[in-house]
Amino acid sequence: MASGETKDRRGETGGLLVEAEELVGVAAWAWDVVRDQVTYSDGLCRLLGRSHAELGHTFLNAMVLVDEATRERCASTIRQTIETGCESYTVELPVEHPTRGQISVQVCCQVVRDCRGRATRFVGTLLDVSERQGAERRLAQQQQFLDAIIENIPDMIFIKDAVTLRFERFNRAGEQLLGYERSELLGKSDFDFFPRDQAESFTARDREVLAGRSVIDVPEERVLTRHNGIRILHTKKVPLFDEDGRPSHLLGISEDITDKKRAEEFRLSDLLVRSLDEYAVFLLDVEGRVRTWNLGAERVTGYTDSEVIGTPLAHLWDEAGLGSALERAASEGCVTLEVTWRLKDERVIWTVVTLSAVYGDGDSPVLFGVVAKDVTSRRRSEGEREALLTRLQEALRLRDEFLSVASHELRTPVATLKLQAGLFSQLLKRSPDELVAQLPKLVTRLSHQCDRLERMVDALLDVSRLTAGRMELHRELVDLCAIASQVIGRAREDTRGSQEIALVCPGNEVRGFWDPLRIDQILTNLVSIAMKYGNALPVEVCIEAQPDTALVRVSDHGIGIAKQDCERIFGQFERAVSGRHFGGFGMGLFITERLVTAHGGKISVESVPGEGATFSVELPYGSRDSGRR
Amino acid sequence: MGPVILVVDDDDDLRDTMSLVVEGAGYKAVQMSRAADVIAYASVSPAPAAILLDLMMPGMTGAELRERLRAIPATAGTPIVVVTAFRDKRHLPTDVAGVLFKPFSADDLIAEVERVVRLVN
Repeated sequence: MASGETKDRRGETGGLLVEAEELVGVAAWAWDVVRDQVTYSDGLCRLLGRSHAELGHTFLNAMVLVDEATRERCASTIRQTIETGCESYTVELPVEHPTRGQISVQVCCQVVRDCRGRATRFVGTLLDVSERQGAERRLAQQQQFLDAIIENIPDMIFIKDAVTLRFERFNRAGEQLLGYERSELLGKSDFDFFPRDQAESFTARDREVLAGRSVIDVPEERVLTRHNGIRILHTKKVPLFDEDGRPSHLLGISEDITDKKRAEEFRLSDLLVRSLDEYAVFLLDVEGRVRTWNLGAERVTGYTDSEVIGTPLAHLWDEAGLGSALERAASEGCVTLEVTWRLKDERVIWTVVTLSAVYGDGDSPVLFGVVAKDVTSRRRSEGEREALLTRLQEALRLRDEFLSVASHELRTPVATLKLQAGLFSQLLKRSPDELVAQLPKLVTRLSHQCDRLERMVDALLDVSRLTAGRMELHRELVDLCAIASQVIGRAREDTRGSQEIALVCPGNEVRGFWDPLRIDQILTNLVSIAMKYGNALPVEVCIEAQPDTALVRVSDHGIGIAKQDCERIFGQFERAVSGRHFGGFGMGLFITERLVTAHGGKISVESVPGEGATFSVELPYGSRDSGRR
Repeated sequence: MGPVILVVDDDDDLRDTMSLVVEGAGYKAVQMSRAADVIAYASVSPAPAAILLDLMMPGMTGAELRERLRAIPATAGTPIVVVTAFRDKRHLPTDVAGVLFKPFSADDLIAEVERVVRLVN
């Protein structure tokens, strides 16, 4: 703008505008409302990049400068100012610059009114605010961007006031995690949402962070949420400072690690389950098909996971048994059973199986957990223990019966001795001469009773020795027929000839290395049994020399032995018939069998009940050094 | 010789000794070792004054023999003294005149025989 022209304008608009422009260095303008004449300062022309001529001189010329979109708003503001008696206004407008494009200008206007209050003149300034607006816009965008970041970070972010520790900011993840709306959270403290002990712990840590002026990492803290129970958080707390370096806020960043922790725990427990090798641990679906299979299951059953997963357990566990176990587990929740399993190698084992129903959201089980242990060895040892106990109880019963029978048997010779003593006394009182006359007979009987008692005591000792394995044989070369002959002679003597006993010994002599006393005992026992159960009918003793053994057979024609008793009668204290009918220790055959066995021989019996029995003894000839017991 | 006492026992020594004791007290002892012999004797002979009966004998128990003797008219009322080593009363027959538990003395034997004979008379 030429200086001459400026002077002209100054003349037209008064010195005020020019002075103002020069004083503050701003672009100025004035509008004479009455004459509709607008004047611009040179600074304004420079600001808008246009000459005075381009700008024109009327209100309408001026309005053309304003961006079309805001022109009406601008005109309306001016109208309102004129009509309402307002003295000033400020407005920011976009204006088209010939080289810079659209720029923003701030228009400040003062209204001059006449004495009647009519607006006669508008005087104002124009300020280029494009840069400031741009900066503000960029700042707003950055703020928005930061807000979006904070808002969309999947971890809970909160900011507390450093003094009150009340929440000033919360992001969406925080709202979702705690279950409260932002509007409910802001302005509140931990004490408004969490149990007192939790809130105290949180605030104590906040104070620590602010006082220590450093970040604190809390690897795990448990927080009670509104809808999701207790969650586990990994939290970092950061102090924020004001311009003066004083803590102004506390920033908290919390990651919800509940699922991660559970997954880790599950992984560990899964690892534990998989590595258990003593227990078969697996899951079955409701149809009984295998879903998981651990090392123990493989070890116990022999099946690998690839062989069984997805298949029913039909081969391992019979279908009916598994079906009923699943039904029980479904109705009772959990059931423990002892069942047999058929393994891959076809072996059958006993297992203790616990089946637990696993429920989903509904009332019906979705899976069944199975824990099983091989208890075969325990079952076996239990069975062995039971069998042992039974044998022991039977042995005790037999021993008690034996003691009863033994005491009974011992009473008979004792009774005889006692009576004989009485008889001595009677005779002595009544007739000493008669006593003397009867003495030989009485003494013989006394001696007989003593022998009998001695034999009984010997038998008891033999049983004791045989049971304890202390029997010793003294072998020498002896003739079996000679021993048999002596035994039969004694038996005949005992029965005073009333019992017929025949000895059949074709070769007259059968010699071998045996213990003569024990052979005598064997034959005596067999002959006395034949006599006792022989119904007083003849008894035969046959001795034959066979190639490897001497065979002795003792036969009677008495009551015989039932087939089922033929084995049993060789047991200790056993007898085929009731002790009520027949006296005796019930040890004769037991002792006999043991003595025969000690000689390396065998004893057996054949019998037809009611027709008699034949005991056969096979004795190897042996040698002087044959095994001794 | 006095009244007959039937002495029934399969143990020869005891039977003999009991007989000697009984005879020493003035009775006539008749010895039997088998139940069958006793039944045969009772069927054809006059009733004895008393019977000493061993409970445990082969072939037939004393209790069974006692039942058989009850059925024979001659011995139906004859007092029977059971001789036994069993202490358990459950094994003893009821309704016998007396019981002698082994071992017993000669005096016990005579006293019991005299008691049952007197009882009948």
